[in-house]
Amino acid sequence: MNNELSKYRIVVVRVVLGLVAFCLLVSAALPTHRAIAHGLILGSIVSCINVLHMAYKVRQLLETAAAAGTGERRRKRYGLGFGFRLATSILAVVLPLEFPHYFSEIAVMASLVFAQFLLLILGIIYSLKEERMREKAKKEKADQS
Amino acid sequence: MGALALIAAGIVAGLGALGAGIGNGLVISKTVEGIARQPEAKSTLQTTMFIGVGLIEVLPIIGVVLAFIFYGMAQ
Repeated sequence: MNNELSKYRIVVVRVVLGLVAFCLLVSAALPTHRAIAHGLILGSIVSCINVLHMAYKVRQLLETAAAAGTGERRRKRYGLGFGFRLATSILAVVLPLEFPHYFSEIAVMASLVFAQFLLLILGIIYSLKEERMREKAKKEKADQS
Repeated sequence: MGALALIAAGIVAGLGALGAGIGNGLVISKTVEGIARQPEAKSTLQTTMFIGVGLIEVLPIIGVVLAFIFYGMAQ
């Protein structure tokens, strides 16, 4: 897979696994807040699955577009797989409605968009880093000349 | 209350889907155009599209989830 995209994927998976571990600790240490912790775990895992699926679909779509640009013929059409992501999100929301004692509905809804906002933050961080590196390289060039 | 909740569910899901459809269409068309012009910038464009589509799709997902909850309340 593309280097830049896989970098984002790896960081998102690591952060989500960290959040899940933290929520499990909270669930074990604070039994009164167990439903919130379980809701956060459920929502963040579904959100991570959505982001991974989206990365796969974006790569597939753009590879098809690039191949069409080079003249290679591929008749198959690709969508972005929004139906799958919608269905997983609805499934995640149905669980707290059916089992309100185990999952907090608000926590699930809040953490359903966790990975997507994490992507935005990662994008800002990486673009700032790149800009700093470019400026550094420019300075070094100016010093050498 | 029941009828109003159903109307709210329809509005929130419909308008969310409309906005996301327009937004996704713009992002994908511009990215494909960019790749056609500059194939060497594919990696950067792919990442930008990934972030953009992710943020655009948050809105309809939340909208449909809210619609589902409203629908449950109306029953």
